[in-house]
Amino acid sequence: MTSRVVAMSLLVVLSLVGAHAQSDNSDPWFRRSARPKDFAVARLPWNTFSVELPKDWQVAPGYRGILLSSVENTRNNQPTSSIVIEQMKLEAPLTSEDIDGELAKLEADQARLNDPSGQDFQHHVKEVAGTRFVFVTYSRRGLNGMDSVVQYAIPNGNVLYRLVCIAPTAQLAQRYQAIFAHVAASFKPTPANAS
Amino acid sequence: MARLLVFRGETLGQELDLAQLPLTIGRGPANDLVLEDPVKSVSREHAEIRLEGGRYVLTDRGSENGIWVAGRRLPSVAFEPDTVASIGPFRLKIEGLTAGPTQVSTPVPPGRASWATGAFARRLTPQHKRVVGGALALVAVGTLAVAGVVVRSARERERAANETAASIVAARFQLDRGSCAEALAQNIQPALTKDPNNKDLLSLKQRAEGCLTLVPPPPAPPPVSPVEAALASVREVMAQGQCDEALVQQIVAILTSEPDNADALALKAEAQKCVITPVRPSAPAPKAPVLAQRIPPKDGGLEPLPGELDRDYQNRVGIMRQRYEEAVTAASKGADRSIVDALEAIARDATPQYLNVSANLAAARRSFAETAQRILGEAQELARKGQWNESLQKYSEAKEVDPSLSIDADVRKIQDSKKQAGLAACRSARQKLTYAPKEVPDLYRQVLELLTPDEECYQAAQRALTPK
Repeated sequence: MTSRVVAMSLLVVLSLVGAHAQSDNSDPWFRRSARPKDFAVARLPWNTFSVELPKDWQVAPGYRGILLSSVENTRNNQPTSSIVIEQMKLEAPLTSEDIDGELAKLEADQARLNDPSGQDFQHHVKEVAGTRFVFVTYSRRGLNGMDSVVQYAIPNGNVLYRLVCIAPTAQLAQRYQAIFAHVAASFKPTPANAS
Repeated sequence: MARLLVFRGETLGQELDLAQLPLTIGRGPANDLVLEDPVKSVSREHAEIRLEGGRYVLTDRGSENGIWVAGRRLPSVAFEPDTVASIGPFRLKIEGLTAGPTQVSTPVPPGRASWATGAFARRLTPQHKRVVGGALALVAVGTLAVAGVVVRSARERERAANETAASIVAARFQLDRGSCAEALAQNIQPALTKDPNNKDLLSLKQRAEGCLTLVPPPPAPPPVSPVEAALASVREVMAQGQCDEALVQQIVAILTSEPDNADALALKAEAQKCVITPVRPSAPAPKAPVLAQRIPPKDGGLEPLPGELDRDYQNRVGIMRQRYEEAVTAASKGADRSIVDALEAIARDATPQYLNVSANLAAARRSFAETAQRILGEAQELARKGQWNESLQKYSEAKEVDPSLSIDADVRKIQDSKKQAGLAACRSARQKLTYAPKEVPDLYRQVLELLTPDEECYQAAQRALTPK
């Protein structure tokens, strides 16, 4: 009898862990890295959000809507990647329901407007692990071949945060997708009513 | 000098001296007296006035409408002071006549002296003069006697003419009543003995004889004198309210032969009053009530109610017919539920066999059902296009045409879709406030159209659109 209860309990725990792992790994563009030690929580002067950035990347301050940039350190000026965190004031707060295909299109249009050299714009609404966001991708000519841009738009109250991740297209899937996915999944805006 | 007065109605139109005779009268311009008459009741050469036996005589010249005096058509008339002759709408009267024949003096030609003062007279001795004077006196007396006879003869002729005219009137009256034998015996034959060639009398005699061959003689009525018959005729005309000046003149003619006839005098007064105040025909006597006669429903009739009068029944039939005609006319313009209701009511209130009500009702039902389905289809199409308000309006129209339609579920679905569209517009407005603010007012206007005032976004839209 006791062994049966233990077995059942184990089954439940395993299924819960499996479900968590499943949800965490459901989207390759929004999930924590298998090597979390490669990331560190950024030390920021604001308490409006928290984020984990790659440990060996250089953080640089931003200007106007750009809060900060995290740039990969390379040797011999090799093609490099970067993550830019922006904020945009919203004229009206957006609810979770407001994050829809239309908003995704507006975000894509805005990206096209900000980066006229971009092409192959695509936009989606994603909801992963309780976070609903707009996901925009496009490509552009970079310093050394084509770059891919992956953009996460996460509204929070009167502010829309954008995580703009740029990497050489050739290395995106192999090397940078997981990094970008971890940074996005670690981004936690402070709840609007708490700030 | 006698003067001819010409009246038209009561108005004196012309006045002329009767210096040159004969005086021709007619519509033609060549006449001495031209009577212009657009309706041509006056002939071109209608009549003429001559001096005959010292009297002015108006003679018909073969006109179509003749000369009328005192209600009688006469071939000629000798004017008396009170004689009024009618030619068409004109009335002629001669003024300046003396009673009796007019004395016509022959003027002495200039240069010729009178026999009593001439040379011939101067040659006679006083004895001769006495003899001649006596002879002349005898001649004068004889002449006066002859003149008296002539005058008396003229008066007798006139009286005879009047009596003949009265006999003709009386005979006509009797013939009209079918008293043919009396007319012949009492009026026509006696008058013919005095005036055997009178055409009117001969015509009446022929008529009376024809009548006698057809109708057996009735029992002899009390004899009627010509004057009484004429008075009876006048009374009959007056009873019909047809009193006019001619009628008065007819009575005057009767009084000419019997001036003291009390009946004629009374009738004359009555007729004159009647001319002034025309007698209106009296209202018809009320008819006895008649019970309704049933008309079959297929002919537009209804079932009579117990004891219903025909007048009331006809009234009901008329009202029902009017209802039916109105419903059928309305149905021909496009049926809706109210027309079907009206026809159903007629079929119920009359019977389904009433005229073509059943066929019309069936056609109206088909028509209104088709109409309702067509509108319903339009409503659904508008809903598919997202024109929610227009769609709901069409659903409402379809329901109005056919209240039996079940549209509640569809309407709820559309209202829900409309609300969702409103919320989407609201969401879009919130998004575009940041990304495309110029598009926001239109979105808020959509919100006001699509949402109800109790929605939060509706109020937000109202606030946003209210000028600050």
